[in-house]
Amino acid sequence: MEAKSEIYSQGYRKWEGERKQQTPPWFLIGEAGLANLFESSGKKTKFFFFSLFLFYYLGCFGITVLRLQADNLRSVPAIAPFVEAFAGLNLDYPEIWWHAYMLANPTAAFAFIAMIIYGAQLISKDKAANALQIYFSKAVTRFDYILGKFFAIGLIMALATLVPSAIMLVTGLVVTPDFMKYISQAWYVPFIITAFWLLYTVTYGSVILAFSASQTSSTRTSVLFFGFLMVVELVPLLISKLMGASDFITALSWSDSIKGIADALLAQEAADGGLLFWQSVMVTAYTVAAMVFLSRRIEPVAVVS
Amino acid sequence: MEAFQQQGRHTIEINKVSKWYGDVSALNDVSLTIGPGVSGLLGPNGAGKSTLLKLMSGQLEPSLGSVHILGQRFQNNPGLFHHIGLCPEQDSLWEELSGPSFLTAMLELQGWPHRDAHKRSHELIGLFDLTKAGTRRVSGYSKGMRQKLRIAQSLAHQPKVLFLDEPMSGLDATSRTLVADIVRELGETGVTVVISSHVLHEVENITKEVIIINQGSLRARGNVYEIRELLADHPLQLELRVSDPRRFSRACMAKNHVVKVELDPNEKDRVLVFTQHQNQFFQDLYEILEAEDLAITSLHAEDEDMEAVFNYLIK
Repeated sequence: MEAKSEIYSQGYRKWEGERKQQTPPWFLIGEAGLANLFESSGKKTKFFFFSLFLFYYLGCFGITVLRLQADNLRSVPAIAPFVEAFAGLNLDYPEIWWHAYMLANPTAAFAFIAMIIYGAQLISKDKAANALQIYFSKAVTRFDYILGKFFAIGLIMALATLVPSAIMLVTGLVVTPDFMKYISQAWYVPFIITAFWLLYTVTYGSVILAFSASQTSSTRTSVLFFGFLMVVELVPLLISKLMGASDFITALSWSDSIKGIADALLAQEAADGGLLFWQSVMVTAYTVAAMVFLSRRIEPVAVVS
Repeated sequence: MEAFQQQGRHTIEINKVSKWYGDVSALNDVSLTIGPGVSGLLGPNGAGKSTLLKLMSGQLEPSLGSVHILGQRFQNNPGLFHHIGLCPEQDSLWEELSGPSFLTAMLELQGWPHRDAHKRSHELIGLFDLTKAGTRRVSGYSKGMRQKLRIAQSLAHQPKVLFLDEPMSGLDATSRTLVADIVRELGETGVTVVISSHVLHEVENITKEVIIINQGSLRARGNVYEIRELLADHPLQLELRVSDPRRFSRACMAKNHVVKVELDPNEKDRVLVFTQHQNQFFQDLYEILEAEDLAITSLHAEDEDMEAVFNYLIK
């Protein structure tokens, strides 16, 4: 019969017996999630993000060239005004300071926008399409699935952290007038930026994925996430008005606490020890709670009691 | 993986399984074994078919009891899913991907290298007559095309155990025939296929082996004709057209296994015989025809099909 020859004549008998996973499932899930997001994005959205990052990366490149080649570029009339724009800054600041200058605020803003637009879709879309049942009918564990989603978030967040950092470091290595001095200032920067990237990926990722796992609509997920941000910003403000400010109350503000830890990591305006401690405790608590909620919401079949 | 067969175990072993959703009992103390070949899982809406299928395919965990597939349990055993295929009843596709991309992704999740997965996905697209859709997104597929893609992903990786939940839903006649042929052939080549449907004649076209459940309990399992024989409360109805119905009726009534004989006042040669033992009746029929010098022009079992068995067990 026609169907038989089609199905059984493909020479895949080598697949008999135990199979070994060729690519980790979490990688495939993250990749598929991103491909799904990319395909579903309109041309305008793609153009907007492409332009935004192109501009940002050009800025990272330009500033690195300007500060490291300031002495030479001052003599070039067309570029001299750009160099003077940095006159107020000490061009001898270490590399990590410039990374903090370029990355800290854009990353915080990008994390918010990326989670609202993309992070919100990562699980809710799967739930809306009932794709969890398909995933979990394959050799995919709940851990693989969640790790895959964090991988997707990580790749998105890398656009605002790892990629510009890599651009700055590579540019710095190429244009620095004193290679050894630059290496001595910059050798630890990749480690700090990786920790910075992980901080945003894990904290923002856990919360947005938890909300996404609770919904079948990305719009509702975005609204919930926005609402959460409002609540965790306003509640500490109200409590501090009523009861007076303290490190503990200040640390209740989720996004500010993440920003505080990030600043401490980048050694820029680090909070004092007490506030940093409570910020770390609070961010950990929010993250663990979100992770627990997330893992409980990931089931192949939605069971309605 | 094959060791379980050497131990004399079945492909699917369900032992005293119960499943509750809160206070609602969906399955109650079901024990069942299923071997290679195609088995139809039948039951009315809400009988527990989907729950049983989800338990067998590792989508749900039983509240009580155990499920073994190929001699193994699902708990902490993701490798077992390499040997299982599932076509869920509900829509479950990635809308933004094309059909071939979706199948490739599914095969990669089952451990296939990308190049082989890509090749295999295009073969299946051809087999299921989805080539015309090309690289069109799944969101633009018709209901029937989506169903075929769901079936394709379930069997693409050549599973040893295949679960199909309402696979014919939304398919046109040609596609139904194609899917029925494929499922039948899979069963013949040693794959264990469990096909759940409430459209009985579709299942009957594929297999005579059935599992009938109702209200969360197993009502019958096995060959539909054997089950029919066991239904003593419902004698088998045979419609015959004979040369002398009255004489034939008298001869039939003399047999112990014949419960009742009805003559049709409108069609003079038509007789309905109700017997407890079909095989015995056919043995006696030859003797009656010879002894009474009668001739029959037609013989037809009225309620021997799957629908009749199902109705007797469920209603």
